[in-house]
Amino acid sequence: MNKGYPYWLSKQMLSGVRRFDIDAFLVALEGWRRGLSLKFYYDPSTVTDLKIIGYNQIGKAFSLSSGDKTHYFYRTRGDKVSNEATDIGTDKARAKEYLMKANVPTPGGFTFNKSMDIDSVVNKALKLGFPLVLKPTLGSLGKGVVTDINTEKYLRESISYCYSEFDYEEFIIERHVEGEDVRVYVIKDEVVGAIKRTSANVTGDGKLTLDELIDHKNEQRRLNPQTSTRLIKKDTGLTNFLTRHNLTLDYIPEKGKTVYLKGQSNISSGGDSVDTTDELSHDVKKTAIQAVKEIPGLNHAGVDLIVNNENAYIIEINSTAGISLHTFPVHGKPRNIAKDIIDYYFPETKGKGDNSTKIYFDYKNILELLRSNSVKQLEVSDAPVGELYAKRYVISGKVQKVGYRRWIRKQAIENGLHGYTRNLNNGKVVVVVAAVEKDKVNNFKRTCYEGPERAEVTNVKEYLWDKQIRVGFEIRKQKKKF
Amino acid sequence: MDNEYKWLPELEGTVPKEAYGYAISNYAIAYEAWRRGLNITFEKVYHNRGMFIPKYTIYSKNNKVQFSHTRPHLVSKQAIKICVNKQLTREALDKENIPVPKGMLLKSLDETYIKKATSGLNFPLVVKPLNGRGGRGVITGIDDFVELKENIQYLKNELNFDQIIVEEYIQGEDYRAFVIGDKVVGAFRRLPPHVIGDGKNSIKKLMKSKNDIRVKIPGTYNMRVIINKEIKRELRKQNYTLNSVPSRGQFVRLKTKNNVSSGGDPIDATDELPEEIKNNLVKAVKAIPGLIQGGVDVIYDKKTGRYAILEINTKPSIRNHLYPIKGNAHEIPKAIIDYYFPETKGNYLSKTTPKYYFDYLFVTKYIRNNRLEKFTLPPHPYEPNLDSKLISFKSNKELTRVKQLIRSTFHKLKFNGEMNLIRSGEYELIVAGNYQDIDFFIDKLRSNRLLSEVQFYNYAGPVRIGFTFNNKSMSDPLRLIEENENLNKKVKQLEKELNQLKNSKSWKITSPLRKLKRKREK
Repeated sequence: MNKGYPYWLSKQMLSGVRRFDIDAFLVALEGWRRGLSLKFYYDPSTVTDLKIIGYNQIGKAFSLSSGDKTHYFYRTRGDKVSNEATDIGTDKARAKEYLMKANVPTPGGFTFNKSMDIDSVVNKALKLGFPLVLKPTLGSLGKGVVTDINTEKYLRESISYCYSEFDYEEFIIERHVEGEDVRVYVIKDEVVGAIKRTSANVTGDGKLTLDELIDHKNEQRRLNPQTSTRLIKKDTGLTNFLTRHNLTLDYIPEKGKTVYLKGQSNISSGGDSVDTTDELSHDVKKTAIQAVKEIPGLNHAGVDLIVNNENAYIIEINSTAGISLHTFPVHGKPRNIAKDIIDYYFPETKGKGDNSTKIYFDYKNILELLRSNSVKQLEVSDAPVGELYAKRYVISGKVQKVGYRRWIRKQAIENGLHGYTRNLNNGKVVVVVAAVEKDKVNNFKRTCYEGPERAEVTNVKEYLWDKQIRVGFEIRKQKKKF
Repeated sequence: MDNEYKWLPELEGTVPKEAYGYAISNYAIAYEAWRRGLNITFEKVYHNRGMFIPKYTIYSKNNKVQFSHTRPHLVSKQAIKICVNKQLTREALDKENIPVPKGMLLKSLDETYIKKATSGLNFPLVVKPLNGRGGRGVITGIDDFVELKENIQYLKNELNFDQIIVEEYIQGEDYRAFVIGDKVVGAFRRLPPHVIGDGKNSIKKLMKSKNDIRVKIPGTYNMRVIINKEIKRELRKQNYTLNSVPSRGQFVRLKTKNNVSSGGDPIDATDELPEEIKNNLVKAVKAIPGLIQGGVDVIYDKKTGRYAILEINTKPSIRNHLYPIKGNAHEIPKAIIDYYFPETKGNYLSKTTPKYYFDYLFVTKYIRNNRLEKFTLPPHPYEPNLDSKLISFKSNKELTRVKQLIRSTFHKLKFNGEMNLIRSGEYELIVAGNYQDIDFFIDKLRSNRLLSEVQFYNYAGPVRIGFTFNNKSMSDPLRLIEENENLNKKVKQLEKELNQLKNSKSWKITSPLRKLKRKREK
């Protein structure tokens, strides 16, 4: 299991950033690190007609620009994806039509809506043959998806469950295809990431019950930013699934035995993710690329596939696909999809952000400003482009209560340095400064010695600093003694 | 000193603490524009005398003015160059027959040259640096050539100025007027830093009580007059020490400088200046090509009627016009926006209560720290059927859940206001929005199972735009700490009294008696 963060990210950078905010942040961060100027909008409709979808939209719309060129983004989707393509992507039935027309393999199935007579739906479904999958056409995140339907009785139950539990009007019933559930990220002619998803599962140790094993697994999931908010929920879907497999939460699986807990293999509903980009066959990749090509104006998207040996079936196309599952897979190599997306929109900046692994901006506070409706639009200060060099200086002498930190901040900002300063409890002051230019950072030691008029510096100790740096220079609060 | 002033009602309760002090000038201008529906973007800061001042742009569809503190970009570079240089200013004004002190820039600091150059001037004289700021290096009351020589040397050697101006001293009081277009919008008189005796308290005590008032006034917020060498020297000259108790009504000068930032008092004097002077102040601004507006310093002697213009600031602070210690505030921000955006004159988006205002924390927290490059304010809300309520309720549910519920409704119904956690489980809301929406909102709160005891009241106070959450219950522990500190103080006081008692004669005299008592007890 992957613990921690890929080398270009850290826990601090993502502190307070959750779920889809992470996707927006990853793309914005990558573009910004290449020297593109980054703006966030409270109401993006004032600047772009880019389609905004989903709940909790605030803070996920931004623009990146260099010179005269500006691209708008909503989460991971930029303006190279047409609004029409976005509409098709969110409507599973329409997407399926496009794919079928082009002979891209999809599981057989049909659409129906709540007004239709249940009996005729069931009859039509029986013609497809079991096992079946039921899902809403406009749903996302695995909501309202029922898999593994094997009997007429369960089919009827599932339909009435979906009718009563969800607000959706239209549903799809399709043939359940056996195979691995794979999410592929396609940009134009390339598969830049592939993740195999397993449904929520636990592995027994011969001692703990399913109930306890789920709690343990959730503890692990909390450490990964991608799964931390996607824990395995002990909901009716889960208990129904267990009942159908003659299991209860009290069951104690033997050591090493993996027990699946849900039908759908969706990360949102507690599934695991394994990077499989290098293992995926050429043919499967081709199918995914073709699927994206068949939706006019799509250009880049996440494609859900069922892979069965060499055969692949397209289940769904997501125009506003998450990329954090590729960035933070539970197992396997992390993929920087944001980099590929920015390469596609700003090819002239390719490679420019490769050495920028330390600098970040405080997205958490930006979200707060936007959510509280106290800003219309804002622009993040420009990032220093390139590999950061940083030092931590500890200054002793008469340096507290003499305006030292304010003075240092002025000097740092005027010299284009980023970092922070803070009073220490032992009467010293710490100054962390970073820049791409080594000289600037090293010369700042002299500035630290100088200090404001009222300060008397006796010594400056220096240390190398290799942790993350937040853009700007701030005075931080002294840490409390206790 | 209570209520000898009248400040602007629109700024009452609508200036956030972060904008107090120097920042008030740009906050008040931006606020005036914002209330008229103009857009405002704050940008990166620049440094001015150690202060961080942001640049900001005020714009509508067809008009855009960028301000640097109080100065619009429309003021020409040439005008700024002339105003920074006191000699060029003097020459420009003199040419238009506007009274200026007789004087010159010393082309050399050679003694014979000085003697010759100043031979036409009458003592007492003033020396000052050509490009000085904030009254630094200004020396007045020079009575003879020896003193003149000494002070020029002092400016040169101690303060490192080599461009020095010598001019005649003009008897009178020190005024600052704000001129824009054809009008003097406001003027204040500067009293030097001083205290007035009450026959009871020492100068030190008087300074303290004056500081206590000063630090609370938004314009001079946190600007204490600090006891320093300069003050001690000035007191010595007047045969005082910090412990002297001046008699009732006695004016004790603390410094020679009049700047409000170094402790001077701004007193509204807009009506004190005669028309003739006002006309010349307007003329003075016009005499500088490309100037448009400025803060004009003038010395005026009421008794003799004599006056002279000393200098013009292109970026004057307007906070002393807004917050005089005595007299009326003047609507400088209104005059500025009227001038540059005449089409918005009188067009305020909200004429009823509540008064909306915006936060300034984004400047101190983000822009000043170079975390954000630009920040565009949300537009002033426009709601013809405006209502505002204070709502209280209780809830046992988790804070995050209650907060989420309120925040999302605020967002949906386009409300502005705040949510305060008073103490655990007790909340208070300040809501401004459409009156029907507010009724709907109250009904919704009342029917919500998570909440209880929903009550509402009319609210006419200021409302910050956006949604703010304040945890006021956090101040509870602070209150405890404060109480603890007070107790500690009392303990120390008692200990002190006890010690005094122990050292007192009666205690010492009775000492043998206590020894005897102890022995007996054993």
